[in-house]
Amino acid sequence: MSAGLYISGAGHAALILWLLAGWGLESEPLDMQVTEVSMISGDAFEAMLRAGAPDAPVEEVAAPPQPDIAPEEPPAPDEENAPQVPETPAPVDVPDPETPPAPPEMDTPEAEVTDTVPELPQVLPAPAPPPSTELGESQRPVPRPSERIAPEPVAPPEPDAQVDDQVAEATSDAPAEETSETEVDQSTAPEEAAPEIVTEAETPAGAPEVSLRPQARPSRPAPQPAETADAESAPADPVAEALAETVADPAPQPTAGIVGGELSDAAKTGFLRQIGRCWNVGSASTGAMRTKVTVAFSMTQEGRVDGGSVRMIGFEGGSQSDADTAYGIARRALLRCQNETDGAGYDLPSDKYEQWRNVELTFNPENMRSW
Amino acid sequence: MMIRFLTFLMALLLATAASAQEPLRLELTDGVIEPLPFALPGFHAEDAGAEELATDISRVVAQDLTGTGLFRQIPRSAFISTPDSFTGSIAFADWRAINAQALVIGEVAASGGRLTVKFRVYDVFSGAEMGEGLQFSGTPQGWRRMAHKVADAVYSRITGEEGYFDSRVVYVAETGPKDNRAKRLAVMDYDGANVQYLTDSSAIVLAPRFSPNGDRVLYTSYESGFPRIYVLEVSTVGRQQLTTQPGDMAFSPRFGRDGQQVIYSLSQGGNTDIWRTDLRTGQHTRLTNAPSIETAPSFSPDGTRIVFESDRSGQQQLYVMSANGGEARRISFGEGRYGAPVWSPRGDLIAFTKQNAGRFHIGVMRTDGSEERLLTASFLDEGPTWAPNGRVIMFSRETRGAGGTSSLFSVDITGRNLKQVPTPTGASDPSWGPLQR
Repeated sequence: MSAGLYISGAGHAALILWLLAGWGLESEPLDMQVTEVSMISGDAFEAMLRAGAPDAPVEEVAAPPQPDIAPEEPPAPDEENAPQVPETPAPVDVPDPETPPAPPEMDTPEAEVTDTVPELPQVLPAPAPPPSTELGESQRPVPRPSERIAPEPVAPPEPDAQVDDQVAEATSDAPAEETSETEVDQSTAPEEAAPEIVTEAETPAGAPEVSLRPQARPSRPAPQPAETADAESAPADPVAEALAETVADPAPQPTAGIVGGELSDAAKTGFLRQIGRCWNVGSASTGAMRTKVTVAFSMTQEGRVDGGSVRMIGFEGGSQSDADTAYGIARRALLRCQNETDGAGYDLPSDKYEQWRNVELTFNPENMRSW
Repeated sequence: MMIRFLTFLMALLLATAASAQEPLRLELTDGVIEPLPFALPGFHAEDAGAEELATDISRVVAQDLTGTGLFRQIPRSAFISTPDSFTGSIAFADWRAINAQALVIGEVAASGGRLTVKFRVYDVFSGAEMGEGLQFSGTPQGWRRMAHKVADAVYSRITGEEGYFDSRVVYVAETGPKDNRAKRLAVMDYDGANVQYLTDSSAIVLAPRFSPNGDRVLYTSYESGFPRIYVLEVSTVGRQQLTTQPGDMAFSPRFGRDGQQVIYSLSQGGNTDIWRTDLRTGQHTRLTNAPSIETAPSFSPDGTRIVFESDRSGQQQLYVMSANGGEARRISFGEGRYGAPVWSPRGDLIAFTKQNAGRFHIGVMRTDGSEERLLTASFLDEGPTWAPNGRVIMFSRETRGAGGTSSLFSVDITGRNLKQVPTPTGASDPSWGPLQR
């Protein structure tokens, strides 16, 4: 922060000094273009407006009280400079609505029906993106076998009623034997709830860890010089000039590595992904799963969380107790995952340290609630 | 003019400085859902006589925690080091290295006929203790309860909600074939240990229900030839019949919040309605008066409302009415038949049994009938009951066929961790009691 602040402060101080001294700010009289105007009276102006205004319906409006002003004779209009009232336009002949114009005769071509599949035009395949130098060949995601599907097919259910060929013996009055050893037949009752919590995080999906950067914008074609334009003789068109300047001098693209530049979306996503791997809500209470907490913390330049700075600055959706639980889980995630890379801290661009020195991170479990 | 210009420049400088310190604001929405790994080195034994108990208590605490499905115990073989003593320093780096997120250490002492268990819970990655150390004392015979209490405290400190391990369940123990099944009331620890029988099998008993403080049990017995409601003292096993209005059958009782109000179904002349009896005054109040069958009432935790099942719409559905009766509002509208509703101790959900398309389900819904979710599916699942913390539901599951048996299962309200509760015999109609004090 200090470097950026100092640079900014020095720059602005220099700007102040320059403005105070006024070096190079002397002004010269500008060339003024003079246009002749004529003066007309108020009555003449109203007459001009009435002549051009449509015949709007007149509503009766209570006349406002007139101020006591001595009537003053308006000056006589200057007949020479009086505006010319345009003549009322001639009414337009409206076509008779009962006789609409006859529709134009159209020749409807007969459709040709063929049984053959039309040949598709040959479409050139899209140019493949250049191979990334950062990523190897990404594995295709492999669908994880569902834990909810029984590994063996379940026997079809028995019919509702079956007449047995053998006659069952009547029950005797003897005391029944203990049936503690009876095996529980679960074959017709496959469990619908998963016996274990298996998440996608436990199974590598093979997806690339970092998304590909979008391709750079293709360079614009160089502006063609005007074939017949004569810069000196042709009238100046400011819009065309501005467009030409834009084409000739495109806006500079943000360059990676600029100190104090905006943290990229990829860096933010990567940071969230690193923390998310350790944000385990498997042991959270149902109340905590409905609570969104915002945690503020500071980070060192090595990408490690300053443990003493971690604090909850807000929550919503649950009670204070729920928020405390949710905060404890969030805090564990922050502190745990910075050790994932051999204690090297979170992977963040060190040249943009000022951007992630202080973080406010909201942990929102809404997407992970199963109900 | 110059002053205004300088003021503008100063404001610009301050804004620039402020933007340099603006925190990075992000929102994280994707995490993982997996059991929290914890380490539990065996509790230390202060003396030689406590070694076996220390081992047993450590085992029960670990079983309680892992049995929830919310925790995963790290095997001892992965430990890098173990604490030398209960008061020694903790090498957090060793526990972080094996990804233990919580560490539970304890000590057991048995002397003079007294058993003492103390423990501490640590957040490994914070390097801090979660809460303060606790100590329980009792007789050596009560070691399981002390283990459950330790597990309850650990569970509460990590999850933020109350535990349910030091609780008991009353149920109907079943023996014999399906067409001649002997039934008797039994009570056990929540995990199936310490089974005790409360009645003999001379008469069919049904639907036991614990009182709010766990000292009494309401149940229905056929010993008179007709279903009648009895109140049983758990400590003395003494019982007496609940006095009701004259009727053909009285069944499906349940206590109110204060333990003095009992709501139940009473059948008179072929019509079944819901009644309430005050145990102190003996006053009976009719809460419904409809030609349809109203049954299976259950109080809300605050005692102001009652959920029950009724076929007044032509099919068995769930309704909610005031605890004093009056107009009822239907809350179940899905396909199939709904029954046996039970209000959650938290008051936010209602558990029920649903029969649809030839299968039975245990499900939960909000108290207004919204967000219905089915947690199980089976040939016959019925009789849900809530754990004291409202996080787990226990129910009975019966298997198909003439040799089918009934047993108890539990499931987390998220639908995970479905598992059977071990009982020495067949079991049905569970009723989960409160946490013991």
